[in-house]
Amino acid sequence: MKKIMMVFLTVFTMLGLLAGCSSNNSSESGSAEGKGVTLTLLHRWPNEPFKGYFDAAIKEFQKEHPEVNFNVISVLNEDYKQKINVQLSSDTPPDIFFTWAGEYGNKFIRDGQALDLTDYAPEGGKWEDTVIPSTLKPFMSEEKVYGAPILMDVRMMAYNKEIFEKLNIAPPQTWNEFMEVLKTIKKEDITPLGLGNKAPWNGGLYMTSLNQRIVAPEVLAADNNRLTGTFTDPGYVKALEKLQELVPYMNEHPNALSREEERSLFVNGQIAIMPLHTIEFPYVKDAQFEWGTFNFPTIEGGKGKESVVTGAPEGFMVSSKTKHPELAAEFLRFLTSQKMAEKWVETTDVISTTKGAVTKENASPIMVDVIKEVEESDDMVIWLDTALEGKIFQPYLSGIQELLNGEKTPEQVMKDVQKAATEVRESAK
Amino acid sequence: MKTNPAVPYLFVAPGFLLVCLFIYYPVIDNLQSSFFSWNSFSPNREFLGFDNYTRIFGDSVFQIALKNNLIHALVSLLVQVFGGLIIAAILEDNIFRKVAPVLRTIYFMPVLISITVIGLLFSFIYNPQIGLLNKLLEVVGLEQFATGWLGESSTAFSAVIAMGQWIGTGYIAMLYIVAIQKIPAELYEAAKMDGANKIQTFFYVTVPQVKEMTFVAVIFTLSQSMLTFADVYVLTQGGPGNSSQVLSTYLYDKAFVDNEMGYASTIANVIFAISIIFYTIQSKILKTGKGD
Amino acid sequence: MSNKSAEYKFVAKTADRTGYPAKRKKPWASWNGIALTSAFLFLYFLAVAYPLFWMLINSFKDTNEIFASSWSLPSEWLFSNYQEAWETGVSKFFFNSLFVTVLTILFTVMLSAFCAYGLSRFEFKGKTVILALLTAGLMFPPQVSLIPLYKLVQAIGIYDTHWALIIPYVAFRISLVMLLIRSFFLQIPKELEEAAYLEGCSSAGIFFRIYLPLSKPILVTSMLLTAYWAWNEFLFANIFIDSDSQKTITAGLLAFRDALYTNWGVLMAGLVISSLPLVVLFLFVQKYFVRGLADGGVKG
Repeated sequence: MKKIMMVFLTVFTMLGLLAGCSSNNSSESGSAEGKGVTLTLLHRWPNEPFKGYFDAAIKEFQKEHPEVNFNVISVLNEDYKQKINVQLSSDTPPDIFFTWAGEYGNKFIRDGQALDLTDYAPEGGKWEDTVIPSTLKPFMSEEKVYGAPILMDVRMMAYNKEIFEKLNIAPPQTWNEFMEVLKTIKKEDITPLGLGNKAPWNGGLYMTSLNQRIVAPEVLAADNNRLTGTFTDPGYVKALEKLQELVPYMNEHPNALSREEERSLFVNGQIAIMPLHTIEFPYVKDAQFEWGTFNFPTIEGGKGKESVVTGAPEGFMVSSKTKHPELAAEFLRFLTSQKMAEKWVETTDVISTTKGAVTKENASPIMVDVIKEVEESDDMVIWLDTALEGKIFQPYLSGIQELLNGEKTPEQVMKDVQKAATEVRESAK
Repeated sequence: MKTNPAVPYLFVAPGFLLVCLFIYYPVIDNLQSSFFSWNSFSPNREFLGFDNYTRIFGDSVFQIALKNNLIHALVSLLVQVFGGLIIAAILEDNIFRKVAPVLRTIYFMPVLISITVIGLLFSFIYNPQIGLLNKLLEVVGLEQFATGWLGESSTAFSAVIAMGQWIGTGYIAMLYIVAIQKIPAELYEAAKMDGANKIQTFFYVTVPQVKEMTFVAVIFTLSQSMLTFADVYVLTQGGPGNSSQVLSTYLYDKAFVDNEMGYASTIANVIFAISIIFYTIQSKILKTGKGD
Repeated sequence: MSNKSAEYKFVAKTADRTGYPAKRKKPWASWNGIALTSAFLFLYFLAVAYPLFWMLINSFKDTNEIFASSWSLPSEWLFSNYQEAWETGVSKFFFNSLFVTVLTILFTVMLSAFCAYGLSRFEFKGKTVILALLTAGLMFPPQVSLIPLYKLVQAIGIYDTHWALIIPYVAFRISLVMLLIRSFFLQIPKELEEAAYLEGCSSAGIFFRIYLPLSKPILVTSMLLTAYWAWNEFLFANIFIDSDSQKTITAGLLAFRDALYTNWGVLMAGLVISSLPLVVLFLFVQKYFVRGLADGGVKG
């Protein structure tokens, strides 16, 4: 029995020791940062090759600004969304933080979290001089710039060239051609089209493209604005009907498969066509066949602009509460500079939004084509789930899942969306 | 026995204060924020009174989620608590003594494994094309029941519940094993002498003797069911539609996707209130602490 | 219900004297019953063991093969998964996890045992309320407490240190562990305590000399349950820690899990490595809380 007492005593002493030493540690690391200026950077890439890029970029930046220390916080995607919300609730948010474009970033602007960067533009000019204007636009509000895009992700339709050649078909450009292609492939007992919609954003992105093709641009713009969104245009219902037309050509049980399972079916030659993000190109490198991409088909009679790419820029904002606005903006200017942007493309294989950064030398021909289209268009369709507010896109996305399961009609889905949009409109007043 | 009246408070104080600070401070903060409309990064808070609470009555997703939680709780009580007790009793029986250590070790393993991997594993088990479950159904000639388990509104949540039972049953069984081993062997011998069979012994000796553990197991299982989050998140994210939504995932969406912290707090308070009602009822039924 | 449990108690207590509803003729156990039960145990064993085996073999595949041929053996055994997982995901964070877990265990079990003792062996004002409040700690969704806790953790100056995990972990774990230990304490015969009291033991003495030694099985169980929980927790680990130098393994391994692409082979290898300490711990401590083949019973 004494033994037990001894054990507990030892434990208590140990605790005291441990407590002592670890608090020492933390105070030491705190004082190390005491010299100069510390910038906190929150980004969403703890994974390679992105993490390596940012680490190297910071080192490069510190050559010119040796007084600046960086406190880097990197958390992935879903964890990032949690973390940013919690951190912005405090008085000491990160100086520079990652954000998606669209409503996701607009809410930070609206609630005064993002610093107006217009006057911090690169020397002797405007942000538009270095950054592709169509990718900057989603970070602007009332003619002011609130963020700097770094990269861009574009969604293309990827197809298995082997299957297309065997069946002697060409990549479709219009909806009717698309349907013909799907029919031809299906006759050969190959699943024509992939959709893994367990995480419902995937189906939402199909709708992003379909809505863009069918609904008039000014209507889309009005509906993407929380003050004016109604979603009453009949085009939205028509777009959902188009999705329904595709269902017979998709893999069975689209809602039961994840995006990764869908991609694995494509890589293994079991589906002929799937929408693929430029960011995902490295992940299909295991494919034993040649593959190509085509732009989402135009739809006969659709009111949307033709051949607009579906994609979205991603970038950084500077906190309005930062103590070092000039340095933080300097870091963003540095990241968007030609030199760093080229390095970004080389390191990550992801499209950069800086003018002239994607070249034949550092990127694949597909990416060069894509960036050309982006530079030429004055607009882009941003993902439904970042363009809209959660209150609207959540019922939209669940509705799409239920539509795919045959549990809801297009009209019912849009009715839920309209109801949500009305609530948002009213609460925004 | 006489003791200084301060003594019990001294024993309870350290833990209780910690719980007050780290659980009840958020609880109170949360109660307050449920009367407002706000998001975490905005300085503006709008007072709503009880609007968030009246809103849940018209919120069909909330109702699906609540129903799912209650079903989860019921199934978990049956499978994990009752099933776990039966398994523990079997493993503690002399007949299975030899294999018991191996079996209980394996049964307990799932709880040690990260939910991330378990989620991936089960999405393969439920996969419509290559899934183990559909293959199994084919083998036993029930292929007409094969389906895309996680993609159908009618099966998605059942699939989630099943995974929860797979994880939790061995855990509860282990707790019961510890409790059963504390039962004096004389009671079992006496039961045997009196000619009770296994089932009678189970109900007349084992069950009453592990009463206090049952109290813990029931509370724990109920609270796990009411708070279940990761299981849903890794398998279905609440879909398809909202068919597998539970209260925790729904409040998470409200808090971190829709940025409606006030409403999320309201949902949290509802979960808390329901759990406390459960607790009160079962304390009455099991009369915990009122010795035997 | 309450009548029934009273009846069980009555029967249990008087089993040695009054006997059971007369069913003497039935054998103590039937062969059919044993066969059925064995089959059930075996199936359950398979249902758990096979997936564990699956996890192990898939940790040697690359992601594409995991999806393409999930149920077969790897075409090529990629030991490099383990190397990569260890180098980028586990080794840096291993000691952080160890530190956090060990301290969480110690504090949780100790504070819970104190609470359990106070709540099981004394009658005092507010006891029911305190028990209810402590138990209800199990029932609050941690997701909504993130923001108040974030502020609290910053206010007491432990943000981005291991203590920002340890202290909330202990607070969120006390409820369950206290209940477990209490359930055990309640079973300890009061006579023992009275005897010790007469011999001049103080309350603290009785706690340390009688209650703790008699409760070794549940204390070890509690340690194990706290260990696996603290080791695998990731909600707080993501929010209350910023620096790479303070991250725990779960937070470190999450870096492999992106929305569009997860390196499942490496992630699984990492998770196998990270679950090893728990499995070893479990196998090692098992003999302290459940009796094995040889010994007959846990007699204090």
